[in-house]
Amino acid sequence: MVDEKALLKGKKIYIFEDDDKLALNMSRYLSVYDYDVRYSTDAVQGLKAVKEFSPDLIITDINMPEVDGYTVFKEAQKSLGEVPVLVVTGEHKLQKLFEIEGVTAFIKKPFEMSVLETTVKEALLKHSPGK
Amino acid sequence: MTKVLIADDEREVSDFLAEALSERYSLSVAYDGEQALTALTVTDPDVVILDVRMPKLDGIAVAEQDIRRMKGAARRGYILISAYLDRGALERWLALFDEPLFFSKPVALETLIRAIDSFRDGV
Repeated sequence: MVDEKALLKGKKIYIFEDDDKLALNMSRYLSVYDYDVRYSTDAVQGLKAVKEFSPDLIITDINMPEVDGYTVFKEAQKSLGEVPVLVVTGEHKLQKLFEIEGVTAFIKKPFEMSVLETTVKEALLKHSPGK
Repeated sequence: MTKVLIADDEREVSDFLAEALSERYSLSVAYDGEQALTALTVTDPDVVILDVRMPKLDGIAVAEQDIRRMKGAARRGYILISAYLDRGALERWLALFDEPLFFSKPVALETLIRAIDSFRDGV
């Protein structure tokens, strides 16, 4: 049996979210589960930082100034390959578009942090080698 | 067979897509906005793929006019493709649909097929 905890410990997560309170909350919550979490409230800076960080999973908002979540998703696909991307948004109209484009999951705001954590865990396990 | 209309003034793009998709769908092609409007009436496709920038009428205006004209009738699926989508164009597109679909060029063929089939299967 695979030890999920050991498999997920230290997995790197990068969050794009311009609402700094929410970004901090998500980051703190996921850190409790032993993930290595970074975030940016400025998506332009985030896109630079994310390449260096090379995360195992990306979480992004859609409506952000300067760069929207759709661009983040496309750029992540280009520079990081098959990294799973979770979209968290209040923009419900775009769910179908993101599903067709192949985002791993779509979480509607407002959401419970426990839902976020479960979705992150499932996405990471699905993308872990050997699973 | 699902009927698909491709409207793009870049002939390389529209001809390539038409050929690549013709095994799965019944295809027709238009090379500008006015041709697209005519083709929509004549061929009555289930799904139309529209480029944003086209001579005579842009892709969004084609969809707007077609939707107005089809008032009351069953709506077809609309997919917008573009090399660059500015905010104004995007907002016009978002205002038209409950579940707007738009893709930046070049669009992966599998993505386009999933999008076309989503209208048939109600994904």
